[in-house]
Order: sequence, then structure tokens, then C-alpha cells
Amino acid sequence: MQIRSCREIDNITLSLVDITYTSNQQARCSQTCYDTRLNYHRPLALMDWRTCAAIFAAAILRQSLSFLFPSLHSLLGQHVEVTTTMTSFKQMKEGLHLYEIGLSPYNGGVYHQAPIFLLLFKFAGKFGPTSPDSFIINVLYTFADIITAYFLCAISKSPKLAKTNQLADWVIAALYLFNPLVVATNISRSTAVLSNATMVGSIAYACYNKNILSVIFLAVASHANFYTIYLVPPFLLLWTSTTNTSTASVTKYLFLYITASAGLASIGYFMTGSWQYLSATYGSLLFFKDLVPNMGLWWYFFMEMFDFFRPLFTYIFQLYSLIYVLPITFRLHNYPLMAITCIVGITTISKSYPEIGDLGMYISLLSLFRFIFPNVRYALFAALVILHSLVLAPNFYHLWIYLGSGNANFIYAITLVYTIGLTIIITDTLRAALRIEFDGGADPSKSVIQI
Amino acid sequence: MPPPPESAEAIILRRKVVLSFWAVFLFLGLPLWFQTTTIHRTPLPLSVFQTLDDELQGGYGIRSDDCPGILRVPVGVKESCLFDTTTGEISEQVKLLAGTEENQSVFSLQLSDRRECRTDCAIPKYSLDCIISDRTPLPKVKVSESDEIRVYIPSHVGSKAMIAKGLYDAFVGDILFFNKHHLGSIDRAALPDVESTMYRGAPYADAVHLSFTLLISLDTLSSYGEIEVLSPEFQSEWRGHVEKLLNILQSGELSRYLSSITFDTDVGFQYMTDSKQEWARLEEDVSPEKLSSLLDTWDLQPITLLNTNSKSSASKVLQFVYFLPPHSANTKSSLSFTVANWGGVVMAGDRPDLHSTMRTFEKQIDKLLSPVSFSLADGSWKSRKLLPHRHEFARIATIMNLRGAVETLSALSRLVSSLPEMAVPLTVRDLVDAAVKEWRSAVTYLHADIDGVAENRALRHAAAAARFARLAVFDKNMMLNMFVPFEHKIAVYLPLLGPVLVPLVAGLRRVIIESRKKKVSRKKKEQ
Repeated sequence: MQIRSCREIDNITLSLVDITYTSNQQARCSQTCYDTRLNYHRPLALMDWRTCAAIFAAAILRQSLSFLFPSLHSLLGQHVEVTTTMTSFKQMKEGLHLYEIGLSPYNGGVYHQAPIFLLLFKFAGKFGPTSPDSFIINVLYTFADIITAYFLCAISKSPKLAKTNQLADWVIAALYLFNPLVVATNISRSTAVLSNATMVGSIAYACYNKNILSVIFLAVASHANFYTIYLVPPFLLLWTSTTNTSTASVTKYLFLYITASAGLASIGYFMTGSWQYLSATYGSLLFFKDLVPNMGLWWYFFMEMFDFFRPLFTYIFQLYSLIYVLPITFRLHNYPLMAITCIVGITTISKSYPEIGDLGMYISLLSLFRFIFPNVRYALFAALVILHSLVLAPNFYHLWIYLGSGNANFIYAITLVYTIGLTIIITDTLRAALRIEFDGGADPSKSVIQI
Repeated sequence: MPPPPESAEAIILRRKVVLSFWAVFLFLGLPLWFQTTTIHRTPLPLSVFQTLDDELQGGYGIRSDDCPGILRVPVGVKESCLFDTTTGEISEQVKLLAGTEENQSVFSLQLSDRRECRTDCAIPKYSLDCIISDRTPLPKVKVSESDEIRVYIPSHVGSKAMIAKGLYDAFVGDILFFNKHHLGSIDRAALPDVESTMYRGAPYADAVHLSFTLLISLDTLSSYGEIEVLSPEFQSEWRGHVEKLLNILQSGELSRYLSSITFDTDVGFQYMTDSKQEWARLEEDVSPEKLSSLLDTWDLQPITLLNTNSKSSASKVLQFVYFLPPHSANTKSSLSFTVANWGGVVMAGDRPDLHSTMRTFEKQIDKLLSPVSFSLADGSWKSRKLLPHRHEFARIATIMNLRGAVETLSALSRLVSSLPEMAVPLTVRDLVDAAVKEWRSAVTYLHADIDGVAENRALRHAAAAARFARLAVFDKNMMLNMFVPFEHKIAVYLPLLGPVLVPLVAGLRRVIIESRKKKVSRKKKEQ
């Protein structure tokens, strides 16, 4: 089966690669194209043994770290680079305790996470203690990472990316599972692991035309992590890709999403007895009520500014992450997956409480777009900038807070460097994708030989 | 080589992108910017402020500037009281007993050695006469029908403290009344009848902790025997008596006025040496000079009263000292005296008796904590004579509060008018409305007949009006914009919005240029 047939079947993705593949790739593409119709309605294909081995090794790694270094959970959980007040497991435990003794977990300004986590960990508590190093929590977080890797592999094999040059499944899985940023986030028991899993699951289901599940997963992800709501416009493109992009279909999926979100919000209301939890969760996130240092750019501004400017800066900073959503969706309307990845990257920079797990997630999503790598110019530079900032950040924070011989400028300078590195990656990858589109989809991996 | 021409689809796409940026900027960004940086000035009823005073004067014939800022009760002190002291010293002692500073209390006694005192604001004038009486070592006070205050003191030695005590006892009801209701604060807006919440000997407190100390001299130890006094049996006997006392207090009249009465489980021991010592830390309401002068009458050495091991968190701690004097004191019968705002002392006679000591402590506690309206059976307390004047005092205090409120509101109106950049949030308007409402309620009750309830309500409303006015003037939200000049705002906005506007304007400019080119090319084609 030729590529042309694939293009006829799949109308949504413009052919980014309009050349003749090598024999292996062509066979792979043919296989995928042949199975395109079937894959739309069947569960995901089984993974190869390398992928399974990578997953198994990752599970062993996480279990070993938890067993050999039981204090690593609390050690990493205290680092502001790894967890924030919005994802801290320690605060989740406090909220869970308050909830179990009948008090509202949102009184006192300690717990800022979604009520759904209370339900989840309360359920997990029936099978064992909910301490960070307990067996059930270990299994839960390991499973979350594994399922995220599985979803990433599924996305890479989906029809949306079938015709692009992809990394092998096991490489994609390994890039996620053995990413130190992801491992550190997992070990610290940050709840971002769980929200990332639902977000990637939503993408995976959308790629396979299971839109209802995708809507539900996205609603859950938005409920857990508010900034996921920015992904709704590109997701609308994904959801309406196999049908006519009409107002009715867009309205249908929007209505489904709003209904699912309202349902989840109502769960929170019935659990806590009031809508107060909205102020403690989303209000704290949006209005930056908990002023603590993190890897973001907000805290330093709000530490220094007058109260008069605080509302203005809060709205402007939130607007800064919102303003890119529609333009990126419009510009990359043919590549909704790339749009989703870009928006994830932008929110990683501009959200109020970022952590390194967000960067790990963004890098893992980038690994799905192998075809843009040859056009990326500043990969080494950006990688070194990020690496330096990640190494220096905990040191400068320790210098400031524990030793008292530094000050806030130290850690803030590093967060600026970190943001610059991320910005370079985002702009470079976006430029690479647009360049490939401009070149008519020529495969940049094809070498040019001068005769 | 110029780049290839853009396709129509690409041009449309770029327009969508640029316009979506502008849409968020215009429809979300600009309104938020205006909303968060606009100085909100809620209109205040400035014209009402000017009429408030007119209403008071026109409606009830009361001029708000009739009364001075402080109620100065003139007391003419006769020569019999000024043997070895002065009016200034007596006045200072009274202030110490009252526990207030001059500028915090609206009520002060104007002691003058002149017979004729100037009367302000229809306040009755008193005269103070001191009579030496050997029959009692304690100062006693009587107030006659002609507003003559007589203080009976044992001798002129150390008289200033005793005269001050007598004066304080004569006016303690009013002192405490106005200490609580002065312009500075009324912390209970919904008070019931004021009399029930006043205390003669201690400032108002919800919870009281009683601390007992056994003050013993080393000389006494040797005579009584250390084992007997410090033995566990003595401690348990003491504890039993104190618990019994506490049960009596908690089940008695005092429980109506106090939410909690606690006491130390163990008695603290303090030792007095024969040598003179520096005063150590004392309770804040008692000065060492005062206590020392009181004990001087028994020719005792100054004692060091250390802070006891009381760990109560009650708002008021009263100290009670059971003093076992040295043999050199030659005291045959037990003596006791109460120190206002501090507690009481019982000095044992030649035969110490814990039972009678506790009965004395009970009377002292009753005297300190009972409300003013409670009169003792022996008739030595004549506070009821002053009650009619309290009504006048309350009316005067009401007017003073009302004057304070209108002055504060006028200051607010001048402030708001002269500073256009000062924000006036809604909370300030609410406070101003509340102040005006309380003002009008106070004036209404002021016009009512004089009775125990009416003027108290007027005073409460007037004090509430003054409080709301003060809260309105000092609302911190009004100060938010005061220290940010317009130039500084530009300095903040420019780097924030400049980098955002530059690409937006560039993109918009390109869209406009392209649309013009398209129009030109269309015209050419038509031609």
C-alpha cells in the first residue's frame, strides 16, 4: 500500500514527509496504514519486548530506590524544585488526615490539591498505609509512570503520527521512564505524576478516536491540574479530526467537557460540603496565594512588589500563559499534537507553580516528534543551559535557606536561566516544525550528497 | 533572492493568529488592566458630616464643644491633707492606682489646693478633707451629701498613698467606667447594663487567676519550724482551703460576672530577709513604692515580691499574700488590706490560722471583683452616692464621643477631597454609614429620659460611632495608591507591556500592509 492511500484515508494530518521511505520505514508505514482503519476501533497494539523490558526495568528502578533509600521520598519532597505546594505529597497527607477525621481539608491553607486526590488516596489507604514509602503508594506511582509511558508509545504509533519518522517505542518509553526529572518527581510522590498520566491518556485516546474517554480524561486532568484546561482548543481539533469540523461537533465535545468538569467539581462540593475548596485549589493557583520559592518566575516578583500592583501582575502573568493558546492552535491547526506539546511547554514556563516534572513531561512529548530533530539548531546549548540550572538550583536554594549565606537572587537567577533554556527549546522546536512545513514536508534526515 | 510568495491560506492563517493575540489583549488584558489599576473612590456622604453636629445642637440644644476633651473633676484639697505631700503627688498616686495614663483616660481628678474650683460642663465639684484617726490603720473614705470627701488616715506619715487610696475608692466606679468607655476604645459594643460589668478593684476581665503566696521571714522559719510550714501536710491543708474557697467563689455571685476563676494549686513561698533589698519583678499593677509605703506603717522592711509560678493564661492575675511577719513586728491580731488591681495581703497575728485567713481572702476577692452596684453590709462603701453623677458623666462622655466622631469624619472628608489619588474602597463607605447610623442612634437615646439604661445606650452608640469613624479614617486600603506616583506606574507598566506590544503592533502592521496591497492589486485587476 502506498503512502497516497494513507493520505486518502487520513485527511487530518498533512503529509509532513512526502518522500519515499527507506524500505524498512516504508514497510512500517504500510503496516500502519493497512491497520489504520482497524486501529481506530481496536485497543492499542501490543508492545515489543524491548519496550516491555524498558518498562520492567523502570519498575525495578523505582521499587529499588524506594526500598534502598526510604528517606529519599522526604528528601526530594522537601525540594522546591521537585514539588510545590500544589503537588506536595506531604500536604496531601495532611489534607487526607483532615478529611478522614471529618474536617474540611481546605481550612487552614495547607491543602491546595484537587478533591479527587483525596478520594484516590483514601481508597489506596484501604490496602495499606499511605506513607510515601509504603507498598501501595509505590505501586500506584510506578503504575502511573508505566501507564504514561504506555500512552506515549501508543501516541507514537497512532495514525496521527504514523507517517512521520518516529523513535522506537522502547526509546520513547525509556526517555520518559528513565528521565531523571521524571524519576525524581515520581520518588518525591508529587501528584503531578498522576495528573500527567491522565493528560497523556487523554491525548492517546484522542489519537485513537476514543473521544469520549479522551474528554473524560482531559476533564480529570484539568480538575487535577488547572493549566490543562489550556489544551482544550487543540484537543477540539483532535476530537473533530475524523468528523466534519462543524459547530455542532465542536459544541458537542465542549459540552461534554464542561459537563465532565462540572461533575468533578460537584464531587468536590459533596466531599467538602461547600464551594470553598475552589478558592483553596484553583484560587490559590490562579492568584498565587501561597508565596513560596519554586522554579518559576512568579514568586520573586510578588515578593518585591507593592500591594497596589499585585492584582495587575497576577492577571497579567496568568494572561501571559493564556494568550498563546489560540494563536498556536490556529497556526498549528494541522498538527494538533505539536500544538498540544507547545502549549505544555509554554505553561511549563509561565505557570505559577512549575516543577521539574513538567519539563520531564514536555521532553517526553517532544520525543514523539523525531522528524523535527534535524532542524533543531540549539539543542546542545539549550540542554547545557537546562542542565546547569538544574544542578545549581538546589545548591543555591540550600545556600539561601539553610546556610543563610546567599539570598533570593541566587535561586531566582537560576530560575531565569532555566526559563531561558526552556524558551530556547520551545522556540527552536516550533521553528523546526514550521520550517519542515514550509519546506513542503521534505525529510530533513535525508542526507544531501554533493557530487 | 526573495522568498516565495505566501499562499492565501498562509496569509489568512497569519491574520487569525495576529487577531487572536489582539483579541485576548483587547478583551481581556485591557479591561483587567483598568480594573486593577483604577483608583476606586466610593462616594462618601460628605454633606451629611456637616449636618451631624447641627442635628445634635438643633435637635437637642447640645453643643458638641460644650465639654472639654477630658472630664476633669475638680477636687479641692484642704490643708489637712497636705501635711507632708502635695496635690501633684496625690494625683500621681491616684493615676497609679487607676492604672491609666493621663492621655488615655477621659476622666481625671483635678486636685487643687484652692477651695473654689472652676467647674466645667456642669460637673459637680468636690472637696477633700483628711482626718487623722488612730482607731483604724486602714484608710477609709466617706462622701457626704454636700460632695465632701473625707478620708480617714491613721497618721500623716505615708499619707499620700492612703489619701490616694481613699480618693480612688471614692471614684473607682467612675474611673473604671470611663477607663472602659473612653474615646480610645469600647471593645464590647453589645454590653448589657454597664453596672453589671464594672468592678471596683480590678479592671474588667473575663477570666481571673488567683495566685497565693506565703511570705515568710527567715526569722519566722526558725520559730515556727521549717518542717511545719513547708511540710506536705501544710501544703495539702492549704490546697484544701484554697479549693474550698474556689468552690465558694465559683458558686457565688461572682460566677455571674466571670467566665473562669482559677488558682495555683500550690502556694508559692517567698522569703523575706531582714536586710533591705532592691525590688525584684513585681506585678505590673503594683508599684514597689506603693506597697512599700503601705507596709511602712507597720515598720516592716521592704520586701521582695517575686513573680509567682503562675502559669495561667487568664487575662487578669490577682496576687494574695499570706504574710507571716517576724517576731519583731509584735502583731497580736491579724491585719489585712486590699490593693486595687493587684490583690490582697493578710498578715498573720501571733496565732496564724489558715481558716480565718481564707475567710479574709474571700472578702478581699469579693471586694476586688464584685461590681460597683454591690454594696457592703457595713455601709463603709458610699459609691451609690455618686451614681446620679454618673448619669451626667455618661451624657458628657456620649457628647465627647459624638464630637470625636464628627471631627474624625470631617477629617476624612477633608482628606478625601484634598487627595484625588487616595482610594476610597467600599469598606470605608460601609464604615462611614455605620458611624452615621450609630451617631443618630446615640442622639436619639441621648434625648431619652435619664435612666440607667438610656444613657448607657447613648454612650455605647456614641462610642461605636467614634470607633467606626476611626476605622474609616485609618482603613489601610486607602493607602495603597498613596505612595505610587504616576511616573512610577509608567516605569512599571512600560517594561511589562512593552515587550508584549512590540510584536503585536508589528504583526498588526503587517496585516494592515497586506490588506492594503490586496486592495491595490484588486483595483488594478479590475482596471
